[in-house]
Amino acid sequence: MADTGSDHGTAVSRREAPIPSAGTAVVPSDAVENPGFPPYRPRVSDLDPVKERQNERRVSWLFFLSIAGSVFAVAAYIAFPITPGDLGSVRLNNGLLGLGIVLALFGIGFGAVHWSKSLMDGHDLSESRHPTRGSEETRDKAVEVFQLGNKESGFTRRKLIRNSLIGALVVSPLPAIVLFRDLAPAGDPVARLKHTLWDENVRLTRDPDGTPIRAADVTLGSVFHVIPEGLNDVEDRLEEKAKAAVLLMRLKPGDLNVSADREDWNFEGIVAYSKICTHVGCPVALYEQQTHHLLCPCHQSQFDITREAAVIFGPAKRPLPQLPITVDDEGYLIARSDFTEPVGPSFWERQL
Amino acid sequence: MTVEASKPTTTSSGPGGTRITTSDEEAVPPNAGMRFTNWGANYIDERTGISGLVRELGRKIFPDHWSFMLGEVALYSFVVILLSGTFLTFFFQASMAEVVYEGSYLPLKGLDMSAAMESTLDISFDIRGGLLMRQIHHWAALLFVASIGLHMLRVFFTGAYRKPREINWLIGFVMFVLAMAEGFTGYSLPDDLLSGNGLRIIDGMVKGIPIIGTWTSNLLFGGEFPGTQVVGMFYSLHILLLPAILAAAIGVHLVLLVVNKHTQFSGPGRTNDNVVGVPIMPVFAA
Amino acid sequence: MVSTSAPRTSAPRTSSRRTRTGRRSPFVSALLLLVGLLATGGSYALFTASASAETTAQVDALVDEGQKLFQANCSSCHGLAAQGTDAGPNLHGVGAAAVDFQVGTGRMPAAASGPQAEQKPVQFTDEQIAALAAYVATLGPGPAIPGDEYLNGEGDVANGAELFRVNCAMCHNVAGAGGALTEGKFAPALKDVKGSHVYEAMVTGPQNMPVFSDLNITPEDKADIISYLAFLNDNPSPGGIDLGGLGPVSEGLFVWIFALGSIVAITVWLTAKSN
Repeated sequence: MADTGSDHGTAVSRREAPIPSAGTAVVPSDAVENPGFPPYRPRVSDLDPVKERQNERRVSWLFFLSIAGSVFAVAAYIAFPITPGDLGSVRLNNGLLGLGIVLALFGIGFGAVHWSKSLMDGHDLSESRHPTRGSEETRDKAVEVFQLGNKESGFTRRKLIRNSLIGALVVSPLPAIVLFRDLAPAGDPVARLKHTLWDENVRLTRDPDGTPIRAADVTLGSVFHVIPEGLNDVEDRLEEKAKAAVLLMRLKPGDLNVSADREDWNFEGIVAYSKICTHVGCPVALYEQQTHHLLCPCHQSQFDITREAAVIFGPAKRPLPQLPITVDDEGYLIARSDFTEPVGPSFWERQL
Repeated sequence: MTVEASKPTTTSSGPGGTRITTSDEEAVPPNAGMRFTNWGANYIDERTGISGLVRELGRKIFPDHWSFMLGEVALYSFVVILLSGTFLTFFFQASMAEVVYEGSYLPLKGLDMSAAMESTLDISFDIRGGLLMRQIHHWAALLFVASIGLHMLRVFFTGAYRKPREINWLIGFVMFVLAMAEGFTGYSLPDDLLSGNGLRIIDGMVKGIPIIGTWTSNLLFGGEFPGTQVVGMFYSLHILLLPAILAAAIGVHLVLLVVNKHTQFSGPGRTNDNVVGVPIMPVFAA
Repeated sequence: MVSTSAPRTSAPRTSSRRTRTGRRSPFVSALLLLVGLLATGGSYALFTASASAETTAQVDALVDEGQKLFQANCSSCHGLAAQGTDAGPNLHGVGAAAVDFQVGTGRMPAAASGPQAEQKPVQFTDEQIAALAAYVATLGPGPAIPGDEYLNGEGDVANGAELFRVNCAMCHNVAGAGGALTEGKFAPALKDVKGSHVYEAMVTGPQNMPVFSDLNITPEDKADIISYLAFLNDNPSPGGIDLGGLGPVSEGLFVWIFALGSIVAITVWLTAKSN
């Protein structure tokens, strides 16, 4: 490793061409000599004692402002309490408190900076920079330390000890990793993902109050946000809702392009689709009544309801699962069965 | 060790660097304040040996270009985050147990929500200065990530990631990722709409990982989404694990900075073998 | 004289052609009798119509005025009988609520046909809007203008907020700040929108907004939603400037441009040499 060629801590300018230091990729070989620092340009407070005292006063005024700010913050905290229910009082209290704290901290900050800029010694100083590596002597000593350690322990010589130690160290974190298994409940998560609360004869009800929906209530162009009957009474309500949320829409039957095996999945133009986006699971509910496009707000996947929620734009890969529906003998909308595929984003075991 | 009463120092500057020399005349006898400082400094040094550090680093030079301050912006915004966050931890409940909200925010009164959300609403609307602390924490976090981004851009475009500072660059990159992780776990804590959307998207992404995705999602949420586990888990990550790693990384980052010395732009008097600027004490400290 | 009763089916009167005898034929007498009867009946019908009950007359006058306004301003796109053309849909059955909303917010008369009718300065007075609404209401049964009991903002704000989050927030944003739809369409911000217009929009489903009929969201629930929106209007954001209520997007922009910008300005000041 080349020596830097300069004495530590001495003058910088050299007569000969500088030798590249550690860390440069390009060899500086310009013929321009280091001109040294530009002449020091004194500040007004260096030259004029009146200005110096003025700046002194300014700095201390900033510090006094800071004191005032702190006191004001405490006073505001007491004098402007929050009246429950009055959002204006929340705003006032927090706003004035914040103002006081800002004054307090900025007063100190600007005061200190102004002090350093205008009054403290402004000369540029230089400090020597050495390559980061240790000196040759230090490195030799370090090598000697390791060599002695190796000799005294016999690490490289005693291969059996060495290899078995490495093996032990590699394996020792395993229990720590396995300990985290019980973050998850026992049982197969895949089975849970493949079923929702929907089943044959389960009524479609309004979200959030759970009242059942008549087919006659669903007028053309309507959108209903639907949960299965009984969802509000189930113990893990939110987990089930995250799979069972459904969007109900009515289109003209002529506008729907129904595929052969889904002819009885809609009722007189009323269709139900899972509300969980097949991309990463946001609720898809931005329905455009005239264009029959359903937009997901997270990553802008668009589904065409006239073509069984086929994806027409965006990152989703699969159409939204359709819930087969019909009416019961009282005219309420019911599901014919559960979804015929898992709802929501794709996962590895989906097709298995 | 005593700090002598102000001895006049002379500085001679000019081409070729600067030398600081002190004259040996005694100026004024120490006054009461100075005696206290002497005593205090002595007390600490006898117990910590900190005079060594002061000697080595007290007059360390920092180049004074404004773009070198961006890392400091990140550092101080992190300090602000720590302080405001500590305040919040005294009032926040990281529990997903369902409660009925009976606080003072009318549009949510009487509704079911998690205890986490309820405590967040209390902080905002019923605790004096609570909303302010939430806002400070939030905006300091945004500034943290933004200033890290700008700092990394500066380091990249000035080539300050090159030898011998590559390790520092990698540590900095890791800190960037940690800062974003802190941000994500942080905004998931109040358990409001934004939190839920973010969590659901992460759940979808995790589920999409081949082979292990479904199981990983199961571990993360303690079963199906949303579960009752994730806010508590993210709380531990957000206030304990991630800040600890981040603080340690900041420590290493700064030590490496001290060891390698700061880079500087080229200019008169500046070479590869020196650093030109202002000393820590007193100018840079201010 | 134009007869408003049965159209004249009798043969038009020809100029009299005298017969040789100078006497009218019996056929012509019958004809004259028929004409006389028709004329008397027609006049009677005409005059008695104006003597009937006042409110019907007033409504009729309103409907009449509405029809005139319609034909002058709306029929170029919606057809003379509001039957619809390529440029504008059939208005039979949209109800007074649709007119009060569309014309009352200035969306109609639309500047151009398209999926998003933008809100513009209102072009008609309240009386004229009422006239148009009355006329369109006669074209077929449809949603009526809501009564004041649903618009006073005294409903259950919490229930309204929950319904808003379930049904409305995905398009209009949780704080009613508006949101984007596909292909340049958007759901407008709901700040300072009249309660009646909110109700009517829900119940008629204007442009691409779905229909939220009274069978989907009951009138009481609609009143709650209106109360929630009134709460948002009356209570300024407690956190200060709300940056449009758009959340992380506007905050990120603000931080990168203004916050970081001012911090950088401070660092420039900090490291600059003092004068």
